[in-house]
Amino acid sequence: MNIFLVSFIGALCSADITAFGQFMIYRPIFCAPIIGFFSGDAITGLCIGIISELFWIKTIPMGVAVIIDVSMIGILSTFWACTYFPGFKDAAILSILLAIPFAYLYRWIDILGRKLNVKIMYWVEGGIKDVKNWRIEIGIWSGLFLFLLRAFLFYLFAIAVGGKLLCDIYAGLPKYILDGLAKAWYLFPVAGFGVAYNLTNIRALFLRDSRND
Amino acid sequence: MIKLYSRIFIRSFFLQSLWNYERMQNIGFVFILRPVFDVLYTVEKEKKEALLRHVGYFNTQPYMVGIIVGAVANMEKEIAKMEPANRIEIIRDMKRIKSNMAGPLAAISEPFFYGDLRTMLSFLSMAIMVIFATRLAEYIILAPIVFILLYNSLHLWTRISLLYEGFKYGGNSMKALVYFNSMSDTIRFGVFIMFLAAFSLYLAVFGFSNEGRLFNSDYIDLFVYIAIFLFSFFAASKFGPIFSMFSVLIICIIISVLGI
Repeated sequence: MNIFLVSFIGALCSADITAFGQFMIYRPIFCAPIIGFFSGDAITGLCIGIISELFWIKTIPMGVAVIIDVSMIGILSTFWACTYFPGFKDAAILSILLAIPFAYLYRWIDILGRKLNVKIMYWVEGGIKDVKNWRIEIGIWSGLFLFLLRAFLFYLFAIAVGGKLLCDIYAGLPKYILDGLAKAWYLFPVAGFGVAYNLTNIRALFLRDSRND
Repeated sequence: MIKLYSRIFIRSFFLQSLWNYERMQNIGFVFILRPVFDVLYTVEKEKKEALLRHVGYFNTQPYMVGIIVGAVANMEKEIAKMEPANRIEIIRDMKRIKSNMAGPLAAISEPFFYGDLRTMLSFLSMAIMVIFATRLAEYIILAPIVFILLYNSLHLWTRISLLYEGFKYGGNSMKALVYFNSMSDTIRFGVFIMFLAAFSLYLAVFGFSNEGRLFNSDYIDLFVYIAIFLFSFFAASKFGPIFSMFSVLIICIIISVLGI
């Protein structure tokens, strides 16, 4: 898959978290299998999607929280795994682990971008006072454009740098670590179900029912 | 009128495009309401005052904005008919209704949509994926599409119906939200059922398959799965999901080093 196309899809998914729509295309359960399918390895995308979704099931933009970009974990790891090491389970797990710091780094950039939005907001407010109402539309479009642009550029950077890092790290890992990573391919989803059971509202259902009894 | 509603509906997707730390969704809200002001106010000074009334702090769950927009647009319609001197009280009421609706709406809808509905459909999608992975691998792409279609059919229906409710009932439209409260228990039970389905299917298809088998005994495999599940369950509540992930990774490496 073309690196620019992946970056563009990634930017659309990132914008879905806050800037436009909230159609849930940013969830790894959707974006990772899609990237995997178009990269020719849907099963790897599926497994990465399940693992990422389960571990970050509670990562949702509630209130004013700026969350880590979970779509980035799903998309980057699926793309790296399918492009550089197709069919290698240990490399797929390593790519998930490598994508996590990139998602945290992007969160920091996202927060800076939102601080810039304050300046645009004041510019729009000044425009309304001066009867330049067109600034409302320009403000909204520029906010959305900046969301997309920073995500797109970051994806380009992350795909290139992360891909190189993944290949170098994988080549240098001893066999017992690679075996451990391959085992994690089967145990991560089980662990993810444990995490998801704890973090979702399933427990609340039983806790409340037992109180009612 | 349909054209105006359609414009407002489409604009509602941009509520958070200029989300900012000081006043959150304020410009997004003004952006949604602008077509209403274009219809109501022909005098530029009055339109300016109307727009400036809404640049203050505003934050709610994006799917719920339609009901507030409808209520505010109804009140703006009343304001536009009044003499400027008589508007003070209704403007105060409008601001109060707007701020009083935003918080509770977010509190009701965020756990419902982001917490329960999305989680239930995620587990459903996982269950479908696991089934397709073995039998119908070429159709596996349908599973995430099912997730998106089911989620967004309810999401878009909510946006449309709440916008309609807001325009129809104005400030009294909060009654419509009883619906979400009544549905949340059913959905939560659905989350549990889908969780069981996805987890058991995963174990059946991948956990005990020849390829996925960690040890040579079903009993030992089952013991390891239960131990990892319980460990992650408790570790996630104490230290968070990333701690769980890296702990399980270390356990896997230790198993490999020991050559078990």
